[in-house]
Amino acid sequence: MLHDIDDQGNISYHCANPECRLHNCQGWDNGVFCEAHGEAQRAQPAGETQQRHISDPGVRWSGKNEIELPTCECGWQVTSLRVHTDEECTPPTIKRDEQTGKILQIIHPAGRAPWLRDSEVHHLAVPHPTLAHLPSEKIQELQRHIRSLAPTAPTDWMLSIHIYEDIKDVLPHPAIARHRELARQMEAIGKKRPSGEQLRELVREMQAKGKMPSGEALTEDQDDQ
Amino acid sequence: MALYTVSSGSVINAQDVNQLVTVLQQNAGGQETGYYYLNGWGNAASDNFGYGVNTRSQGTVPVSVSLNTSIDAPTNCASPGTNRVTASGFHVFTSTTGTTTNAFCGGVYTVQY
Repeated sequence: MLHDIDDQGNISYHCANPECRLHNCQGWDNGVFCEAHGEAQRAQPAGETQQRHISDPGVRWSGKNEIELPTCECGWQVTSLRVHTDEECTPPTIKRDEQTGKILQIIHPAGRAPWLRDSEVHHLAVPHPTLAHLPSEKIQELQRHIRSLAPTAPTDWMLSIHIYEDIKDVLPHPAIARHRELARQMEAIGKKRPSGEQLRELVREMQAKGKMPSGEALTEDQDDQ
Repeated sequence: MALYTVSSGSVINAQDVNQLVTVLQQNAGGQETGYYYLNGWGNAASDNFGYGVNTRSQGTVPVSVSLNTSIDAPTNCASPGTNRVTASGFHVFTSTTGTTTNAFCGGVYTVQY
């Protein structure tokens, strides 16, 4: 739930607990869904956002491609931010209509980062194709029903609403760039990205020796020991 | 995201079908939630235990994974963490805070795409 990172290493993020004062889903990326609030997300009051610096011990690598954020003050959430690799950031394959250039299909191979669709949803009203199979008295009954619901609606045919999505473009998920920037800045200040089993073994070894209490950041110096 | 049913006799639109497709392979902006529970033991402090959680969505690498401990707060163990986040699932783990035969915590995970 990382909202922003500036070039000084200050980060802002929100807690996923909907009861927490630091749950600020309204100010989140446009088009990114909040499970807790759903369609009501945009109507949520703008809450407060957690502010930290990347040097905070709670901001640490939890895996080769994952960065853990500090547990929220509500004690509820632990968040791992995924740092996508170059290969995972490869754009999806897009099939277009040869005549109009419109996007017909987006093929998203497995193992890739998500991409956002810039699209518009249209509603098209057409005569209902199943009408021809109905007896005339049934059609008249339905027309009377429509007239009662919407007196000005045309009733010489029954309408069917077709919904289609007009995809204009496919864009990288904005969080991906932020997570990669967070990783770059953490490595720049010495919070080195662990490799493979290195992290788990190192943390276990150092905790056993009492050198690193649980929750402390993994730094480049410690990694070299 | 809440799923809906299409009433009998209605025209089935692409979005009706896609609500199921996006459960199986989430699009950007989607979320998946699910249950996790950790229960283990340790001979000393900092003994790790955990397991791999399979997400319903397969094929899209998530943007983030969050955990809460709404079912059981950490008992005899540290706050749970996640790593190895892939297009198929993730690793959830914790570590003991001392010698114990019963360390546990559990709650709901939220995977953001």
